[in-house]
Amino acid sequence: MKFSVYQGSRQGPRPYNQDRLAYSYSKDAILLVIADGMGGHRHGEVAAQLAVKVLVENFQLQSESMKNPADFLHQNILDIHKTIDNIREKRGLLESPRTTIVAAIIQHDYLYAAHVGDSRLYHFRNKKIIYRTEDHSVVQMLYRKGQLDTQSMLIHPQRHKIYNCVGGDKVPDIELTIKHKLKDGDTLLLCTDGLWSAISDDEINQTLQNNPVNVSVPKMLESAETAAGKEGDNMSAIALEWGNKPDDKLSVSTMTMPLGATTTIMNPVTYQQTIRNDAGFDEPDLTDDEIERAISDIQNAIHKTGN
Amino acid sequence: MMKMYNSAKIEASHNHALPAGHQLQDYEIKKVLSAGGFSFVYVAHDKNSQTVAIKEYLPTALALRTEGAIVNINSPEAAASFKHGMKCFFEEGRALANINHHNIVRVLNFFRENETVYMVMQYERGKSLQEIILDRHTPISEHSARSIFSELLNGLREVHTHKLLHLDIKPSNIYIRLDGSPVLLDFGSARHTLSDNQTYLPPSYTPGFASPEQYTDRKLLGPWSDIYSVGASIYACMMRAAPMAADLRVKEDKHIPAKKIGKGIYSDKLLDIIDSCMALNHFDRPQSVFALQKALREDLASHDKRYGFFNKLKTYLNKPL
Repeated sequence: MKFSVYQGSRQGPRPYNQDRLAYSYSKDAILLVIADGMGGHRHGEVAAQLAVKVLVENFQLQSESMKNPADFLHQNILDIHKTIDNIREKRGLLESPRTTIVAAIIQHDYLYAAHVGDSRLYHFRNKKIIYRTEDHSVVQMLYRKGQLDTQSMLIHPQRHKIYNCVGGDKVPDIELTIKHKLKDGDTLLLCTDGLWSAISDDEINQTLQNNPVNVSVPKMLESAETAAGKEGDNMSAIALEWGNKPDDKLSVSTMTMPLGATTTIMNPVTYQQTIRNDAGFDEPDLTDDEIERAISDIQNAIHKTGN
Repeated sequence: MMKMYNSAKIEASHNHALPAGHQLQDYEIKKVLSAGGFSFVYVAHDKNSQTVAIKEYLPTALALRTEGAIVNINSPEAAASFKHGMKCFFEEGRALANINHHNIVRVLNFFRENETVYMVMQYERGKSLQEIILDRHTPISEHSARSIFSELLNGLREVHTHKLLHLDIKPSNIYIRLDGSPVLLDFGSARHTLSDNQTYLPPSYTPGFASPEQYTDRKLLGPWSDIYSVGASIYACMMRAAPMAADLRVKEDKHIPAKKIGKGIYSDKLLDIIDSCMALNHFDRPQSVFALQKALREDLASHDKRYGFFNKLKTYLNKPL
């Protein structure tokens, strides 16, 4: 397998970043996952973090022997829901932590995907969107019933309301994407509503087609953050370009990977934050004085032990 | 073993390194030695034209330098993480500043500039053990492996004496000087074991070389955790690849023991040493560096009888007059 992959996340104007994302790959398969912890609910990031962690860990264990990636995604998302429900019960939370999930697995040139909520997967080929997941949102439902058109969907006051999520009061309705064959040059994008609601599908398409993924992802995030301004949400994206492009320094080949090995990249900013949250306390900032003191401590030690 | 580097290189490409000829306090930058996700390392000359290595704290995910020398933080959220990472960088500086040992990289200076911090280290000529392993088509010989690691453990003993753990021992962090002596680099993960329970720092680890307790219960960390990594590094010398990651082994141990896979490459005694170092249960590993060093050395003498000092002496004394 050869591919290029890049991910990024921005906090936007929100006080916390509740988006979590990661990708992981082995010799045989790739997992991409984004979870958007739900803003109105406390502990949203706990749910999102748990979702990403469970999927990545189980993928690492099973990627080699995975018979049916669609079943894997379905079962794991159900398990995540149950785990979140247990946490709610154990901690006696009034409201359950909630999250959206969009996850994709690529195995033997086929794409499998599952989603709950309004985080999206796009599949581009020859500069066109050939597939996009359908949001489990109120406006999407109204659109299906013919009560809204695409223009009014964009400005509807309830455009961010979703009726299906992981960790809620009812068992999530997990939508599986019919498996697709991937072709060389195809691009996949997973993103949260913070990104797709701030910039148009056209702009997303243009940006992805004209740049390598390590440029297009930061570009789209930048553009979305600017466009959304104070109204913005957390925004996150993972883009993957499939196949072999000559002289592409970014591209990853799993040819030389040992069996049983997986490489996992959690989005770094998110990662550090989470660790602090898990530890249950916040560290005070390092002040200028503390920096100076640390440096002079080190210099003293160097002189003491010096040659 | 190579897989770690893809991502680091991709990320590093965002940030611009200081250009050759740039004057950084008393040092003149000559070239970039390496670029990682958290730092650049430069070769530079000090004011006496001595060559030094300078490590610049620059986590690519958090800070950006597109032109000039000044480092810009990406967002207010990143600023907190940036300072947090800076604390780790200070830990590394503190750890090294207190140690002056032939087998441990020496810190010469530490300073603040360009909105970030710099650590000046002695420049060592040679190659990393990782490069040596990958340049060859055959395993590192038993004799070399034993002598490299028994000497390296002198340095590690010094580290542990200072109540520090390295926590990221792997072939790419072991440098072999031109004279063959090893030096342990990159104390970016080093931690105070006993004294410093207050500081909470995010764990970082290299799959394949990090011990299982580094993933799970960090309260269990001890000298035996570095010993796991030493065992995994010797395993890598033999197999020319990283062993299976410990977090996966804990769930389902598909790691092939050295004793099973290394027959005929290394002696049974050395294979046993590797396997005992890589035991998942930390109680089953050699409990101190000294014990491990003794095992590596004892057998080094018996493995290489002809060259031992006492044997030479014996041959000499037995020579007929």
